[in-house]
Amino acid sequence: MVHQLSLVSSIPHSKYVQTISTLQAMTGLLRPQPISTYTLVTKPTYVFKPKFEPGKVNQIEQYYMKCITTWDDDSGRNLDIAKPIIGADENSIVLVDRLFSGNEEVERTWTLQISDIPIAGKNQVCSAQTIYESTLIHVHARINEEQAPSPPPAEPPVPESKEDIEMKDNEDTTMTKGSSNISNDPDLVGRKDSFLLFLDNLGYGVVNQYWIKGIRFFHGDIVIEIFKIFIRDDSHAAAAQEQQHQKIKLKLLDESNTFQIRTYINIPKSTDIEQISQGSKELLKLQDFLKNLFKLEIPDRMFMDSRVPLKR
Amino acid sequence: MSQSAGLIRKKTSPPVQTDNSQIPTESLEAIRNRLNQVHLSLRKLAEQVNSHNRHPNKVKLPSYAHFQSQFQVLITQLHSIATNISSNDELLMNTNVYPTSLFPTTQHEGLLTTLLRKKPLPEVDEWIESAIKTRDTVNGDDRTLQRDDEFAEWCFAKVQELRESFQFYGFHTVEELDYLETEEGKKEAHEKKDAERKKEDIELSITSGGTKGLNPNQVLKFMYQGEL
Repeated sequence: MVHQLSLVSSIPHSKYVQTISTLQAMTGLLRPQPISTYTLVTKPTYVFKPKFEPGKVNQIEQYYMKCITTWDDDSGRNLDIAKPIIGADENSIVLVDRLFSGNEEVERTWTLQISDIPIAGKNQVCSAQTIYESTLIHVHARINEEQAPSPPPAEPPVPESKEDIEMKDNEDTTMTKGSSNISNDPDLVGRKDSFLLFLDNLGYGVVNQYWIKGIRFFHGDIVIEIFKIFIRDDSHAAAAQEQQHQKIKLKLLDESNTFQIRTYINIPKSTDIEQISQGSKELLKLQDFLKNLFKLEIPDRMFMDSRVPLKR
Repeated sequence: MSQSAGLIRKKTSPPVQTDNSQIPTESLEAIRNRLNQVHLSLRKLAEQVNSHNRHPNKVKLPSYAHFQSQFQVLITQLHSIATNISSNDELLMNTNVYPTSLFPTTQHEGLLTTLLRKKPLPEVDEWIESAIKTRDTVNGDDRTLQRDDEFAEWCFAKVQELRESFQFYGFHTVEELDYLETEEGKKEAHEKKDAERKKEDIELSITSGGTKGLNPNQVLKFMYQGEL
């Protein structure tokens, strides 16, 4: 669990070089850390409606879950975000390897993340939200039932509620620990789609996917991320190209080539008021310092709401 | 004021009865005020000049513009005195001045003689004479004045002309402007414009036709909920 204070902004592509140079000078980080991730947005498959019981916590909600892994194929490594990506331009086509094709040498690690809606309140200086995260090292769910040494940990469709999150966190870790002993026989075919199966067993279905490419600066405790988001290109032309290369063609989520900026500070405990106020002060200082470069703003908490709306 | 008022009587008024009603107080007062003003400005000017003469290192001589404005003021003041006097000339001509019985004649004998003096001082006579003389000479030769005027006008026109050649507009030097007029210059300007247009085109293609980027909030929504 981590408490995250954040501010956001965006810059047009033409201001990228200037921004990077400024941040390099400010942070002293000549080679910013590259960001290259792939994210699956998932949603609980089943609706969880606990019985209303007076005297108990009744505000129980289900949350979207982000499953994040690295985007480390050739395209992910070689993509230069300093160059604009133009849809019609042949040179700037982004083709990524298909995931879950089973031909990966090392098993992927996935980070599962659930975040609370940011705290409400007047006179806020930054957005503050609690994030729960757990990293999955190994999944022993297998497609081929015969080869599977043990039945997959068929968890019941876990209803994600606020109280359950930390519990799930623990489950994941114990599960991965336990399974690491069994997986001394890395079967590539068996690994294929295993994560998706795991998700399914967990009670989550994939809603969407996106790729993030960007860079990361560190300034004191503040992390500054500048990135672009890619999504799958669903057009006909793209489909033909995908056939040709056996890969997935990407396009920008935001075709105006705008860079998104996120600055945040992570605080281990949401109850540590002193550190939180210290952190928001630092963010404010940064906001003031960079105000002529880009305007850092408080994101609207409603847009960061990852609760699943209840269908009645 | 009370002294001078006390001294001045019209000759028609009875000597013993102090009837002040017939004294032309208003016009006299006006003239006195003007005189006082001239006196003050002259004294100030004299002081400035004298203090410079006494301590040439410490005190600076007032600037030319200062003198000019001072003279301007003096001329205006003198002019207003002249009009004041000439508008009251009948009254002043017909007025005799003598002390009333109340005036302490013996105590202020010196003052009294000064005040009652009608004849100008010999040096003043000289000034008047010289002024009249100069006027005559200048009037005798009308051309000098005219020539002066002409010269002044010419100077003014020349200054205007010179000033115009030192006033610049725009961001180019004269040489650059001349160069722009030539064929080569025109070509260069054209190329520059082309380059700028190309740059704009690139910018447009990058931003997919100049569309505005997504708001960070929209992007966040996509990241959290998987849809825009």
